[in-house]
Amino acid sequence: MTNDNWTKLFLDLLPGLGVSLQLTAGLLAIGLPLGLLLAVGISSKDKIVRYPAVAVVEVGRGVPALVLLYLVYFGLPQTGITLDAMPAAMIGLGVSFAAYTSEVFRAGIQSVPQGQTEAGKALGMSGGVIFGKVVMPQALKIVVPPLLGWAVIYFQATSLAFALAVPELLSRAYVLATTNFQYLNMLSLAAMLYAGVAIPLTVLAEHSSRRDAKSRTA
Amino acid sequence: MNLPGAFSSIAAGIGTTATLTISSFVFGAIIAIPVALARVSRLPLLRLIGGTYIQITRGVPPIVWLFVIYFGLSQFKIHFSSVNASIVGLSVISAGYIAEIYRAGLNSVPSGQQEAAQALSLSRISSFTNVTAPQALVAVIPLAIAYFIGLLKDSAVASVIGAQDITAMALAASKRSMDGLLIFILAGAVYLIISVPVAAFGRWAGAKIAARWAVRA
Amino acid sequence: MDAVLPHSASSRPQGEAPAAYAAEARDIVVEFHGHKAVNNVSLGVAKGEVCAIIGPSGSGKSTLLRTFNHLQEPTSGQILIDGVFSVRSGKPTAAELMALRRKVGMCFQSFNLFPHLTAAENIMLAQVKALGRSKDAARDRALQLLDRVGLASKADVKPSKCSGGQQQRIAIARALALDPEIMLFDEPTSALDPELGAEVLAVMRELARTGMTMLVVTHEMHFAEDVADHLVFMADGVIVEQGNPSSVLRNPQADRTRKFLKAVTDR
Ligand SMILES: Nc1ncnc2c1ncn2[C@@H]1O[C@H](COP(=O)(O)OP(=O)(O)OP(=O)(O)O)[C@@H](O)[C@H]1O
Ligand SMILES: [Mg+2]
Repeated sequence: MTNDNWTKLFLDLLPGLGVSLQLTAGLLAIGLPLGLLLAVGISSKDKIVRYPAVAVVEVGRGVPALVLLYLVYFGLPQTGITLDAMPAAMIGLGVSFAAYTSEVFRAGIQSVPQGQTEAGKALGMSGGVIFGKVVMPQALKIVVPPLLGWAVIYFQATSLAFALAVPELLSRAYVLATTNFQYLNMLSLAAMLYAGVAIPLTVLAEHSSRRDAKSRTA
Repeated sequence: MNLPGAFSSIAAGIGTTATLTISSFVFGAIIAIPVALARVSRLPLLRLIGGTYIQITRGVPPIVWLFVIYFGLSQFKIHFSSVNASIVGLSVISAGYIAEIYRAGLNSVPSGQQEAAQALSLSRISSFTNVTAPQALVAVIPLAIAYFIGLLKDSAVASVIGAQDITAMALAASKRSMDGLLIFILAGAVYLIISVPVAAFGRWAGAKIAARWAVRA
Repeated sequence: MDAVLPHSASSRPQGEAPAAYAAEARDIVVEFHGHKAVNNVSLGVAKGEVCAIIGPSGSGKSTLLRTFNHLQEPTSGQILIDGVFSVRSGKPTAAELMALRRKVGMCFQSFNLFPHLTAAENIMLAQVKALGRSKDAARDRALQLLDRVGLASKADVKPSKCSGGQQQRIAIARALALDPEIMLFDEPTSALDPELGAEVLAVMRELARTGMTMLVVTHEMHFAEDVADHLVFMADGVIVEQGNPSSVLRNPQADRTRKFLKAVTDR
C-alpha cells in the first residue's frame, strides 16, 4: 500500500476522531462536576446524602460502561426521556467517569490536612469559603494527574459509542472498511489514532503524578 | 416483560461472560509473566519491548482490539468465532495490565530483601522464588482480583462483535420486549452480583496470604 | 602516619606471626554520579580482629563496608579474603560472588529478615539453597544458633512477632549459619532503642570473644572502645584517622576527628 493511500485513509478517519474528542469533552463536562459532587456526597456525615452517593458510585463502577450506555439510550425512553445517541453516550460515559473519579476527588480532599480547615475556621471563614478557597486549591494539585489518566481512559471508552451508532472514530473506520474492504488497514489505523492520543497523555499523567508524589514526600 | 422472563433471557448469557472472563484472565496471567520479566529486566532492549507491549495493549481500547482481531484479520482469511476473537483480544489486553500488577508486586518488596538474599549468597533464581515472589504475591492478589472484576465488565464489549454474553442477551431481549429499562437494570445487577462474591473471595484470599506470609510490621 | 595505608598489625598480641589479613580492601574507590563516596581507601582486618568504623553520616562507611561482600561493586580497587583476590578483575561472575558471600556474612541496619519465613526458616533458607545442606541438618543448625543468640523459643515465630532486638539477633544467627570467616555489621543497633541495642551488642561481644573476624560500622562509642581492637574514623570518603580505639577516642590527632567526637559526646 502506498503512502498516498495511508494518507487518504488517515484523512478519512479524522472526522471520526473529531466526534470522539467531542464525546470526550461532553462526558468530562458531565463527569467532572458530578465526580466532585459524589466525592462530597460520599464523605458527607448525613446518611440521606451519603447513601445515594455511595449507590451511584457503586453502580457506576460495578456495571459495564456499555450496559450504562444501553440503559440510557434504550431504557430511559420508557421514563419519557428520549435522547439522541450522542448525548446518551455522553451521559452514560459521564456517569461512569464520575463514579470512578469520585474516589480521586475524595482522596484529594482528604489529603489536605485537617489543620487547614481548622485554620480557616479560626480565621472566621464560612464552610463554603474554606472548601472553595483553602481546601480545593490544595486538593486540585493532587487530583489533576490522576484525573488526566482517567480522562485518557474515557477518551478510549468513547469507542463504546459505536454500539449506539455514534459516528465516532471506530464507527467511521468500520463503516469505511465495509466499503473499501481494507478492514485491517482501517481498523489498525484507528487503533493507532487511539494509541497516538492515549499513550503520550498517559505517560504525561504518570510522569506528573510521580513528580507530584516526590514533591510531596520531599 | 416480567421479571423472571427478563432474568432468564439475560441469564442465558452468564456462561459466555464467565468463559470470556476466566479464559482471558488465565491466558493473560500466563502471557504477563514474560512481559513483566522483560519489563523489569536489566537489559534495556527487553525493558523497551516489555514497556512497549504494555503501552500498546493499554493504549488501544478493548473494543478496537476486538475489531482488529475479528474483522481486521479476516482480511487475511483468518477467521475467529466471536467468542474466540474476544478471548484472544482480551487475553492480549489483560496480559498488559497483569504484567503491570506483577511489576507492582515486585516493586512492593523492599530492596533490602534482595540485598539480604544476595549477602546470604542465594542464587538469583532462589532469591526470586524463595524471597521476592512470595512477598510480591501479597501485593499481587488484591490487585489481580480487582482487575478480574474490571475484566468481567470489559468482557461486555464482546457482545458488539456478536458474542452471546449477558450484555448481548440483554440487548436482544430489550429489542424484543421494548422494556429496555427493566432489562438493562437487571443486566447491570447481574454484573454487580457476580462481582460481589469475587471481591469477597479476593478479600479472603488476600487476608489469608497476608496472614500466612506476615508482611513486614 | 599515612592515613590510606592498611594499618599495621600492632594491635594484635605480641609474638603471633603476622598472618595475611582475613579481609583487606585495597585502593577502593566508589563513585556515584561522579561523586567519590569512597575515595581510595585501603583497610585490612586481621584474623580474629574486631575493627570498628565510625564517622559522620554520608562519610562512606556503609559504602566501604558493602564492597567487602561486593553488595557494592567498587569503581576500582580490590577486596582480598585471606590474602586472595575475592573476584577476578572485571565484572565478577555469579559463582565468584556466591563463593565470596559464603565467606563473608552481613547484618544490616534494618535487619532485612524475610517476613514470610519464621526465625528458623530464615536461618535455614541459605543453608539449604546455597550450601546444599539437608533440611534437617539446616534446622538443627538453626536451632543451635537461635539458642546461642538466646532465642531458642522464637524458632517458629515470624519476625513481625519479634522485637527489633530479637530480629537483629535472628539476623546475626542467619548470617552465622553459613559459617562465615568474616562478619560485616552496618549499624546493627541504630534502628533500636538503647535497651534492645544492648541485647544485640551482647551477642556481638560474645561473637568477638569466640574469635570471629568482624568489621563493624557503628555509632556506639562504648562498644567501639570496649570490644574493637582497631578503630577507623572516616570522613568525606577517606580514612582520616585510625588506631587503637582508646587512643583515637580519647586522644584524637586530626581536627576532623575531634570535631566529630565532640559532636557525638555533646549530644
Ligand atoms: N546507591 C547510591 N547511589 C548514589 N549515591 C549513593 C548511594 N549509596 C550511597 N550514596 C552516597 O554516598 C555517600 C556515602 O554514603 P554512605 O551510605 O556510605 O554513608 P554512611 O557513612 O554509611 O552514612 P550513614 O551514617 O548515614 O549511614 C553519601 O553521600 C550517599 O548519598
Ligand atoms: Mg550507612
